[in-house]
Amino acid sequence: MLPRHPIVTLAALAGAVLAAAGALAQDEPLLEGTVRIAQLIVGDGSEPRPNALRRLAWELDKRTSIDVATSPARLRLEDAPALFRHPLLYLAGDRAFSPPSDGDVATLRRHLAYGGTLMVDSAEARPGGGFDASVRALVARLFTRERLAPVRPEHVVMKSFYLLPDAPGRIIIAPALEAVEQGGRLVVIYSQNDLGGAWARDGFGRWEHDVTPGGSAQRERAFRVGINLVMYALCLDYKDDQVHVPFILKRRQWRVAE
Amino acid sequence: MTAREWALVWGGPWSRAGIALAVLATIAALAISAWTYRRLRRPWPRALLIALRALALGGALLLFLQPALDLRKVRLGRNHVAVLVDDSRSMELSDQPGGPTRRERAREALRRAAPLLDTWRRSRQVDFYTFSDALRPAGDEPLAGAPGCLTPRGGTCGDATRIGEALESVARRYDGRDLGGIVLVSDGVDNGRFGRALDAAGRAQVERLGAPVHAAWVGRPGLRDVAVSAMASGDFAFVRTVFRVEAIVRAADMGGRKAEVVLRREGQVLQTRVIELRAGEPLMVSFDIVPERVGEAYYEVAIPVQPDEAIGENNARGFVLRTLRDKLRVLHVCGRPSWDVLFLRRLLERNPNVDLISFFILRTPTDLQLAPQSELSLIPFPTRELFEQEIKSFDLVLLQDFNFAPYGIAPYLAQMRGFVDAGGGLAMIGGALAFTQGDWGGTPVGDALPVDLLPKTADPSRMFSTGEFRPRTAAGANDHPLLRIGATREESAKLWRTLPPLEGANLVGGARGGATVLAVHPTLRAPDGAPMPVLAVRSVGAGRTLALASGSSWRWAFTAAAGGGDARAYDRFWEGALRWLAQDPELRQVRVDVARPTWAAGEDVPVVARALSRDYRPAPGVAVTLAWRRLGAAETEGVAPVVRETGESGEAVIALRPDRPGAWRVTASATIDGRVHTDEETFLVESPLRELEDPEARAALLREIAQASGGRFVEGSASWAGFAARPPRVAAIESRRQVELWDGPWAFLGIVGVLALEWALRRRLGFA
Repeated sequence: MLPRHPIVTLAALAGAVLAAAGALAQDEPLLEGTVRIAQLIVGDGSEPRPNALRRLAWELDKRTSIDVATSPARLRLEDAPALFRHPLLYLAGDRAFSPPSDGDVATLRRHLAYGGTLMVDSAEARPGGGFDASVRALVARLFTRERLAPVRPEHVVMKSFYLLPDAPGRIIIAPALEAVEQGGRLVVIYSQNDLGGAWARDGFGRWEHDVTPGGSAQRERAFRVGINLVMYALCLDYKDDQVHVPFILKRRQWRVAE
Repeated sequence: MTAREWALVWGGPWSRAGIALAVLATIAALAISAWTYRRLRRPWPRALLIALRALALGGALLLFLQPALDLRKVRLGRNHVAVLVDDSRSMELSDQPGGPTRRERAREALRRAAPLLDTWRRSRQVDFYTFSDALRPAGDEPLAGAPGCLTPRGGTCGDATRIGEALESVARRYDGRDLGGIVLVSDGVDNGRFGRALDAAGRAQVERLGAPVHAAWVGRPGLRDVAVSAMASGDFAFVRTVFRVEAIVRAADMGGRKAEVVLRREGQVLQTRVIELRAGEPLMVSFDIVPERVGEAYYEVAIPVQPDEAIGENNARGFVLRTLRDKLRVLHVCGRPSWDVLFLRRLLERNPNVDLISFFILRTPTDLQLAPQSELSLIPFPTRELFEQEIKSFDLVLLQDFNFAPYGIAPYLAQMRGFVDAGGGLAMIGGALAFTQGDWGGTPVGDALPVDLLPKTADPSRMFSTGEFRPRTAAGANDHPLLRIGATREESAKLWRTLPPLEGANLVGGARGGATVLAVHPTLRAPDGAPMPVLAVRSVGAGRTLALASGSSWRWAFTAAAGGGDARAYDRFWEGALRWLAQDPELRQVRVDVARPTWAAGEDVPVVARALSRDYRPAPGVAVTLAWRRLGAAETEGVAPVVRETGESGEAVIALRPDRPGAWRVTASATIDGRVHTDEETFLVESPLRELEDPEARAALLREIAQASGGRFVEGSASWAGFAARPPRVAAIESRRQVELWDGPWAFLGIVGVLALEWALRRRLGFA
């Protein structure tokens, strides 16, 4: 059990209230500009971190200007019309899942081609597990040429909001994110570090999982990774625009050519 | 006229081979003789003996060849002498203040040459011509015409001096006839193929004439003049990109004084440069300008007329500069990231014609700050840079789901409005931070929008509507460029009926005066009872505004793909919006076109006016008023507007004939569907004074022509006594007699005498 503190307790209560409100609001019409992330359900429908997205949405709402629906949508690939109302999909798992049908793969391919982004989060806590194999098989069916490749440290996703030196989650198995790039855009972004495990918080404000080895500081970094991923899905390479380069280079103490 | 001629001929019956054999035999005999005298050591006696033997052998050879004198009395024909006198405008100049003009000096030279010409006339035909841009036959007094050519519309002088072309015309004219010589009277200011000096081709052309060209230069050094002789710049530039205007200035005998060179844009002074007026090489004067607006403008580089300057009309030179848009510069400002922002940014980034500057608010002042600034990639909102310093450099500003109040932008709203008034495009795109909620009501920017804004309240339901809806295109607006989202009108209409519905709308008031409502909400009503506008446009000042009262047009790009559709409707909608906001000339309903930017004086200028109806189809039967004026002139200078009705093709064509040189602007205006539309085009009518761009008299070219042809060169009114014409050809032989030189005793005795002398000398020297 995690250590408790009055402030943490209050925050947990507030989170629980917000979560409940978010759950109620899930099916209500959203105000213009509100972003709702969709949890993608595959295979037997298991969700290893069911509260992770809600907490990430809460953090996004508090830390950034993004207006986020705190209750994520839950979608299956078969539900194509609903899928195409949610450009950002989050797929988490801790076990192998049955391969989607060809039609569902085509739907997902189309979703990604027209501007969607798939965020994949492995909760297996080991490399090369069943979920990892299923994800790689899905990627191989989605794309004819592109494969998952490590994301370079200087990629815009690592600076879309926070300046990230790495991308830890609840654990640190993979040193970097992996991604599939298509048309200059990362369309599938894959973390094997169980981001959702670091984000997940129950209705009473308790973190659901310990974060190792870095503890709370690592958890904070995991949130920053999540925020950067969502920010990237919404703004793409905005932070690569020339207008921002001198500022970012200066903070990283790189030299800016005069 | 008759003449006596003689010629040496050879009367022997020998063939060429026989003659050659005889010559060889003579040489061989001489060689043997020389060999026999080799023992004689003293050189002079030996040389004398050999010379005597050579004389004897040569005499024998002459006898063998039988030489004779052919004496003839012949009758000669009359050949031609062509006198070419320059009568171009530059001949009107006085090289020295108060002195005679070049024309007067030429006239004086011809007067002094009268005796020579009279002499020539006895045996020759003397033909006079004037030349400038072309060769023209003239009477015996080629410069008798009235001068007065130094004003654009004065006199009848030629507008160029083309010496090479004139000589070629002479060669063609006398082809097959006997041309005995050419006299060229000119100031040497050639602006034809010869230019300032003869090149190899020019030299060959002169040599081919086969007759001497005598040149009389009637110019003098000392012309005081400064001229903007040419522009070295192109005729198009890109908006907001540095463009270099380069003018070539020539000065003649201005004594190194300083003068101001001025660059004007349609009469307004832009820049000045001070230069030193030195004779010799031309001076390049450069101005860097940054055109601010797309379109055409008349620029002029001018130097004030200097004291004692021979001619002031060549002190200015103008050109029409067409300023193009290289890329559409778009400022995309968003109040927060959203799907609507994502898809519009994707579209703008993909468009190669868009130069995109984005600024997104990623964190508001009320958001939690859990990380030090050094760990964030956030930068301060450069409000002053964007909205005060740089806003003029943009074509469009897109405010997407954006509220200005928290970011200290209020002081710059007047500049944003000024940007629109000056011709910029501004779009407000919906979202929970836009329109009323964004506090735009009552601001200079809000007042420029096509829709009224509702009073702000604490009740969100009075500012937003949630729920899906499919906007209805307004009646009569189906053919507006913004609504043309399909390949055809019918496809567009179908697409508007089947596009994915929007989700959520900003509640706005009715359309403002002058606004065009393009799409309305299917159920909601504005306070005036009319359907609530969802998409409306408006012309404000010289610019345009657009209001899209929903932040969910991204669904046309993404949700449309769910059922096998695609994003083409979304792409076309926004590309049409960008073009309309940027006032793409292709989207004007009245257009006027002039085929080329520069015309010669006196030339008819065909002008085509096109009228398009609101659905952008050719509009026949529209009365188009065409007016034109010379830029810089206070009045239209007597040119009255004309009205033409468009034909079936929607076009009306007229031919203008501007009555003086300079920059002219033609404006077409027509009322279509109750609105007045205008377009304009600028063109340049060149001054006929191009001849005077570099008017300093030049003797070098005339001297070269004379030398190349075997003629003589004289300056001013110096005597033409050295001018010689080739003799005429023989027309007939009246009598002929041959005197045989070999047939007599003296030839035989001469040879014998030489041999005897040689024999005596040999004996004396001990050889015999």
